[in-house]
Amino acid sequence: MSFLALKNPREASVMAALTVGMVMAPFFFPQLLQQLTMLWLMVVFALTWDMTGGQMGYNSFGNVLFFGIGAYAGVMVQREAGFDYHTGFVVGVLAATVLAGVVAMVLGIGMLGLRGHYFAIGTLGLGIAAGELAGAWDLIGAGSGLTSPLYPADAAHGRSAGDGGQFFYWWMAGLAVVCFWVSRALYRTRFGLALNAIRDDEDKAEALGLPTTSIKIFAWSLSACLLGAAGAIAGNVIGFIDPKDVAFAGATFGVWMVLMAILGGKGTLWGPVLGAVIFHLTQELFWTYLLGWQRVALGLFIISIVVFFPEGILGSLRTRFPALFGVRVEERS
Amino acid sequence: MGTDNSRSASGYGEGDVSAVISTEDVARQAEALGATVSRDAVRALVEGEPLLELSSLVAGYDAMEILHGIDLAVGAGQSLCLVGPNGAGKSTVLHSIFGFTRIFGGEIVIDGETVTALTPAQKLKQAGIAYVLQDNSVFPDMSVEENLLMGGYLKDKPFEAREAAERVFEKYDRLAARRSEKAGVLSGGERRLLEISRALIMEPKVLLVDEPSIGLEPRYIDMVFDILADLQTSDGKTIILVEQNAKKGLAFADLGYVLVSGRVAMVDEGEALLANPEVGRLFLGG
Amino acid sequence: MRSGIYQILMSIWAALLFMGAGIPAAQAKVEGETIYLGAAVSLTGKYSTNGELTRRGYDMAVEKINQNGGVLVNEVPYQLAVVYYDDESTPARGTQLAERLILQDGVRFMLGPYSSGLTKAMAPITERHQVPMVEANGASLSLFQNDYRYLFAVLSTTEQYLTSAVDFMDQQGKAASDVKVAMAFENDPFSQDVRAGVLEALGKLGMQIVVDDKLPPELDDMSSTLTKVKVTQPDLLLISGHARGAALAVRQLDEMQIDVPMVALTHCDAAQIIRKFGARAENILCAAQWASSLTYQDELFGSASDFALAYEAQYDEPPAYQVAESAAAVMIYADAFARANSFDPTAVRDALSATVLETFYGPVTFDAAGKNIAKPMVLMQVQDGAYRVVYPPAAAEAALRYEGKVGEDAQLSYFGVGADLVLNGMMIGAVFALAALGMALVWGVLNIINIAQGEFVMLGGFVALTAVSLGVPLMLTVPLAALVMFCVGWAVYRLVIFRIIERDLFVSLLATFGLSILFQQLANQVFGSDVRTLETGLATLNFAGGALSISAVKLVAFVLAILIGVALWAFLSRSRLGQAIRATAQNARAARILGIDTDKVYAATFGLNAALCGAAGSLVVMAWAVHPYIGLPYTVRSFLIVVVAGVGNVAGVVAAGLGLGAAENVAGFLFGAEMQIAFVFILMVGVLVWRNWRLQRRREYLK
Repeated sequence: MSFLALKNPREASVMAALTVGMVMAPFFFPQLLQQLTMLWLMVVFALTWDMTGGQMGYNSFGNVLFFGIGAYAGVMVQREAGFDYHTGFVVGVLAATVLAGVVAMVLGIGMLGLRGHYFAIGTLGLGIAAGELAGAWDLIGAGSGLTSPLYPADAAHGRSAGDGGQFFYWWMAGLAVVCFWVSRALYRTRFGLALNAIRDDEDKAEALGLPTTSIKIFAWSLSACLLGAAGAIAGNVIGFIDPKDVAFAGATFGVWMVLMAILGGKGTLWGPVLGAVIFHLTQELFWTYLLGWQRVALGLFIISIVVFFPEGILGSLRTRFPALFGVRVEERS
Repeated sequence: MGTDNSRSASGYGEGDVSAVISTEDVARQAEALGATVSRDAVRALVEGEPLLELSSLVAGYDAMEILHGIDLAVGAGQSLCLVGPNGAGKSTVLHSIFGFTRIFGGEIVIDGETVTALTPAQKLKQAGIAYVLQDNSVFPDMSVEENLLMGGYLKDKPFEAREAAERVFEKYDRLAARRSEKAGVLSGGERRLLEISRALIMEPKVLLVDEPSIGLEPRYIDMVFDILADLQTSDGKTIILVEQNAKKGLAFADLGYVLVSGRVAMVDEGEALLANPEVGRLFLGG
Repeated sequence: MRSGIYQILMSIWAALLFMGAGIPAAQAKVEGETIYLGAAVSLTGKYSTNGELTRRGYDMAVEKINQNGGVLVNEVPYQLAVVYYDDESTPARGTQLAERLILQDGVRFMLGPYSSGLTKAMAPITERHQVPMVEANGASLSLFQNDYRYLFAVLSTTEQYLTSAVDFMDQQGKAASDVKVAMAFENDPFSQDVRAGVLEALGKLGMQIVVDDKLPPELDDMSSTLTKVKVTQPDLLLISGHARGAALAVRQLDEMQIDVPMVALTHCDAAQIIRKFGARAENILCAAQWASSLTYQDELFGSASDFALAYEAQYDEPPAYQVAESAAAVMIYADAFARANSFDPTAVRDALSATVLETFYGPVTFDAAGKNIAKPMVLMQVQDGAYRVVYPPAAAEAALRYEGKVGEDAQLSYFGVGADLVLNGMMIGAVFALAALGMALVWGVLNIINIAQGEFVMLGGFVALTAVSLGVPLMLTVPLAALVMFCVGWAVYRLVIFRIIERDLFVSLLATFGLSILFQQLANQVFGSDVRTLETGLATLNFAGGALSISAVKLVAFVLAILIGVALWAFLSRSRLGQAIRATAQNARAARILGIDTDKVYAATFGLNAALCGAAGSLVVMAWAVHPYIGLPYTVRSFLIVVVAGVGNVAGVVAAGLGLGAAENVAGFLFGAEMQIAFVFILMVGVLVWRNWRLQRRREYLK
């Protein structure tokens, strides 16, 4: 079990709690199933963003591009490839993963050469352009969007459509877990250090002989693969893929990815997870209780996070209680 | 660990490798030099009334205190050099005089008037204190002439600034020769000249000069100190400078202060400090 | 070990508590004596105007039914009530809230959302949970091709919308194969379905299709499509783009002086084309689900005109058909409950399926798929400032007015058309340049990239609109908008921006992104999502035999934009504050030691930027159009222009702005309107990558 490296008892207990919660939730709160599925999606969003953003310093505003590609790829495979539902779903997810990764590799050659804010705005442009282009492509339904196939019905009960809620929940939760462990493993290796080195001073890292281009492309493609898979699953959860509002929703999912990671504390492992949970909850609360004004409240929330909480929650906690994080602070004499 | 002279680096100093001391050591040994110098000692170096005086100045940034009670006095037409280890607060003294820091306590008096709380603009315009920054501080896309005119931004009437600029051009024909060129293409020495003369447009009484020689080639360093000497003797300017090249600085200035950890540790005439063996060992490279 | 387990247990408990926070008290389908219907409506987002109309329709019917004693089920009277949620005009939200209504709130009877897209997203969910949904605003035929058993629609489906116009054209004497048809449809499920119906009709008759454009959903300019219409000189023009499309079409057809013998639109009354455009709307054909002059009636509301009067008494405007059909949906439920005498969803579903009901909205009978096959689509024509029903013949109040073309018009010169595209593009390019100048200022002085730049432009437009509605003379709107936005910019600086000045650029990106979302949503809440324009009453100038037409107001906007740019340049180079701004931009520390209060400079610069955008926005609303979501493309354009021209280069920025405007217009013409916005974003990415590649090659040499 050494690869799990469960040294920190605090971390271990939190993980245990989450695992238990994740497993029990569908049975205790079946009516919240879709919301919980979306929660795991948010966790995936935040973790994948942080991989290239907080850890590597390449703050992308357009990662939603890969999510959208995954959504379309997955659903297209399910609709057109002629498999039975479950096989089609799995093949769809795989196709989505691969396609998103390939696109990331190809685009990465041009995009990852951009630095700082150019990269951020450039990726923003990509994400939105993708939405426009998807809206013009008839093959994938253009502006009318795509509906995912209905979950197979339980014919014995005479229903016309089955309830895939739990099925998708497990897949999304599973993906979130995979995301988490992959990130965790990655950040503990030299590769993780290399990522941080690129973030802190790319020119020096290059001068030290690190193959920065390959590293950057690899990290971005990895996040893209995970996002693609998330898209394929989410496309089925939502049931209807609209090019601008679901697949390439730059002004919502695209920005939220960044915010969640920052809210929790970018550049850390648990920060994005924490940020995703809090953000999702807050958003749901706004939507329920601030009917009509929820997006205004969201805008204010975003500004407050960025202006007052730039290190995120974990960052602020680390400053206040460094001992909790194993950091020793000596008094200056 | 013997001294291997074949590896001694040639440079501005005369010491060999053994003269190198770590920063922490310098700070510790400098602290051992003595407790804070008394106000009388400070005042004694000035003949007559000081033009600029700091009394127990406590200052810093945000919540952090850097200066823990500085006394300083310099007379009209005198020059004073601040030396000391890194982080001692030398630049902070200049910043505080000009108004860039938070003043927690103490006073700044110029020509008998208390000016502690004045804004930088007021310091420049009313109190006659000008600042010359240590880094590149010209406006690169403006011409030399425009840079000088910017020096007169606070003038009530623009033509006054133009007149002052013309006087500068008369005095320094190196600048006059380049007057319409963009300041960004000037050489290091010319830039420093521009920066200093720009500070003169408002006709200040006191010049605060932060690291005049930093980043300059040797020939320009001498040029800069010549200019400062000329301003002091011909124009009667009072000059307070901070200088890492303590040798040059103390050789130039009338008075010298050694600052350590936000306090004044030693004061004396410039030459005396230059000759002081402890100062020499800690700050002058031998 | 004990403490470890304890920690684990505490964490689990905390997690459960956490999750429990999200559950409100569940509402049963029927509680006491109230039947709850669940409804998703678009209260925010691009459909908010029509979402509101939908809600009003539902409420009116619910109120009326309740007033009349409610619904009798098993001889017990029940009141109706509706549980509303906001789907934000997005399908993802719609599906979530369908699940929420059904699973959390326990609703068993659903009313539909506004728009086919949202209905399409929600139908699988109601179907899966076997909850009937009676919808009134999702006309897409494709909804009924999925074998849903629980979906019912009271409105006529899309394939009927504009086909009657095609039929009319066919009856006008010209041989079908000689008839030229131009069409433009918004790229959304509804309009594309309308298009499918039209294509089928055209195919059967063999008419020529000369223009077939997809319009982007964030539609605010149809001119590249209409230029194609101008060039091809069709007999019939069909446009469907919800209310925005209708408003823009009427306005721009007039502006560009395009004369098509027959023009048919959808959503005219929601767009209020008569009220807004007066004589320019004459003779336009409008597809409608319902008109208040029709002779339908029922026992609840009386006649169609009774309903209209009741609505007008409450809301001070005549009802669009969306209101009527929404009300009808509720009436269908009331009728079904009474017939089913049960609250079992399946029983109600069966009762719904067997509905045969006369309403003020029209007759309702559902076929096996759930669509209403009893009510025909109505075609109205604007005659003498009022809508007159001209189709179906049985309900027609007036005859169709039609004047065919006399002979063939002369062929327009390519040069003329090209010049038209380029020059018109440059007109708006000048406005882009203004916004770009502002962005360059803020970038150069504060080192911040303001993502909310486009929102400042948008707000400027709305300030101008508000000012005019309060009686401010038109000529003062530009300076007034600039002044108001200056104050807004100053305030934003003092509240938010000053905190992020010294931080890295990414933080400023994110913070200004937050601001942009905030302003967008505020504008949507306060002003609604409609496309708004300001009528200046200025004429259109024609050149080159009609090929080149420039509306005078665009020309004025162009001139003003250039003048403002020149004034800005003079201000920066001559005035004292301008000097201070330039100095701060070049070296802020140096500026400080010379006595410049850089904080004030930053505030003034940001305010100045906002003022520039405000002026730009007021020009946009006069010469083009604004709505709350025009922001991001403007921001990206500004960024693109500054990147290409360089931060300090005023003349370069202006030139690049003009060039971008022209390029965009030409691209829209060549590649289709829906690609116009994509073009800008892709161009930006391309420029960035290309620039970077060139810089990298230089870095290679240095290595």
